[in-house]
Amino acid sequence: MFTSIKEIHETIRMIEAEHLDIRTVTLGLSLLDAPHGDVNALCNFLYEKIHSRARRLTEVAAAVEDRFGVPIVNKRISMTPISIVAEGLKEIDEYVAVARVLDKVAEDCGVDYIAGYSALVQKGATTGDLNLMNSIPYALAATRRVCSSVNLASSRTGINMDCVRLMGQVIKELAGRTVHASGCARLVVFANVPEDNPFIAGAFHGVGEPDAVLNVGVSGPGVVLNALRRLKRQGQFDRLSDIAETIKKMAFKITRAGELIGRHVAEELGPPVQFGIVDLSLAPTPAIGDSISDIIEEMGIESTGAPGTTAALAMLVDAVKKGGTMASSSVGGLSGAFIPVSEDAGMVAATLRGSLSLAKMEAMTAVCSVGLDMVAVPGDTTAETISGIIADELAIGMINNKTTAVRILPVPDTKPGDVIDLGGLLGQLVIMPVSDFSSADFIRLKGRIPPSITSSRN
Amino acid sequence: MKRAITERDIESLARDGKLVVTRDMVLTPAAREAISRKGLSVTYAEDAPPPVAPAAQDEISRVIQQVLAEELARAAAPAAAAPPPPAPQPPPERIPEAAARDTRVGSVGTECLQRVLDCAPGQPSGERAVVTVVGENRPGIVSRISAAVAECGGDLADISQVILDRYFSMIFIVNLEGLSRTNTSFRVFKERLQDEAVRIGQVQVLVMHEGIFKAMHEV
Repeated sequence: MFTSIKEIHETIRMIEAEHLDIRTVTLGLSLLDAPHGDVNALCNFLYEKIHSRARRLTEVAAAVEDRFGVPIVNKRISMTPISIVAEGLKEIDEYVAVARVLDKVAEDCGVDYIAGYSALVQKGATTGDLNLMNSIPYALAATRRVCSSVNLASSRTGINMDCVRLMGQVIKELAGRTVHASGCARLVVFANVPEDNPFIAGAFHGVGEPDAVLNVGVSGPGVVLNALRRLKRQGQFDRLSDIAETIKKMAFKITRAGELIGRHVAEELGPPVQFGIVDLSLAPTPAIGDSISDIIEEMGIESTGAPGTTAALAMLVDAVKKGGTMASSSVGGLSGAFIPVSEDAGMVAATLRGSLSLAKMEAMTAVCSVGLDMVAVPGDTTAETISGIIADELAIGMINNKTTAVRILPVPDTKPGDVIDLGGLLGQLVIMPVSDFSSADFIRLKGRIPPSITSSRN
Repeated sequence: MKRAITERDIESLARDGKLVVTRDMVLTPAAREAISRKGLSVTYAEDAPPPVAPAAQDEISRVIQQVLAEELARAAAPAAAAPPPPAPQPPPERIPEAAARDTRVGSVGTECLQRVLDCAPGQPSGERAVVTVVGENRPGIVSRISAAVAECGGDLADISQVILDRYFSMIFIVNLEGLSRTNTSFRVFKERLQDEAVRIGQVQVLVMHEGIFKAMHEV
């Protein structure tokens, strides 16, 4: 037979019992041909173009899911950064109108999020970029499906501290305009943002991309966790190389499943849609057993955040990348492991136990794929302090030539230790304590932090 | 169209302690166990002296060798040469061993041989589904599921079955080429089997295209 009975059972177990799923199929659309200057013409164009290209996405994804038996959890759309598309607009209200049209088209296409209300300002901001950033609190508060991201730094250009300062204020403003600061879950700031990331909220369709691409984000912390547990039961859990091997094999299988699904969805959507990449990030969900934290603890860390956590996470992420790149030549996006605190039941538990702090999270982000993700802080945290947290995180990315990001929720009227349930995939927020010492004078300094010496590579 | 032969079918099919298995039958593992338990002797239809079998076999291998020889000769010929006319002299009886073992990249000979192997009889190259049935064991499940498969135009290629205490797990490999004949989509095929499982009760049916297994387990 072509595949052994054991392999058939393994696949079924991975899907039925261990939460193997395709986390997202994201259709990236170029909007570079949009008309400029007139908000009515722009809104009509955006609705028509996105609707015509994406209206079959959920139907096609459902058919492919049916065929292969692998659940596709989310269907999403990413777009050319709206700051570029809407560069000619003058008023904040016009930007908000654009956001509302995007929200409507996302709803009509049956997708839960549309991402790309974005700006790329790593070196400097155009008038349109500034308008878009200033409109974010109003645009996200007026919509439910629109996601926004801003790239504030890169290894080549350094960190645009003027915009870091601005985004601290934007995040504070947005937190006050949405219940429990939930709008901030749709806003992420980056260093070295990838242009083909399928994961919300940081997805957008890069200007170097073709007309329409289908990118896939896989999942599978539960699969890795159970593989390690089996290794333990077999009494083979005493060598790090065996653990790394096991993770690699699982990452290989997960990635293969992702690529298969992605190629079929792209093929059935038909031209001009082409398959883009598989983002092989391990993405946790609040479901029990679908947690990155549980993997770290399975490796022998009593509670995530204890000394050794960063090393364990580094090994996990590296093994995932090695297995994934062996499986597919189309690996892209963020690829590694996500550690969104609220979306990972194990991380929530570790925070409540007091083992996981903001400082330890920052260290962990130096070795995993993203950054401070879904971190909640007290509502009285100042805009300057938030900018300081962002600057620290982006500095890690800028110096180490990697993507880092911050998705932070300053939840009004909360204090450290409070728990807020956002529901669904967003999970439970535990308010983390923030240093009381000020960084305001540093944040007020104007201009850019110059890029590191490693940027000079030509 | 193949039909699944279950433990219960054995009684009615066996004659004088002998069971003749024809090409259109697939024996379930439980049926095989019953055969050995009852000490029945099994004759496979193709075991019986087929009227032209050896000759046909020779004919097939002769044709294959001829094709291989022609292809190898063409591959070895200079690229500029026009397509050679049919070889005037009769093709060699056997391919010289050196040529048969030719493993140059893109060697037409090995590719051709591979194609021949891939299309071995009983192994259609079309799409297949893996149907997994798990649940509480009771008589009739195999026949009802296989009847539903046949009704949709699916053809059973193989069956694996494990019974543990009261529970069983069964895997069918189903050729899907016939689905188009009954105008059945994959989704309808899947729903039909799942409906049957609901009617049987206490069993779960999973229907998945084989592509997912190949993707995940083949390096």
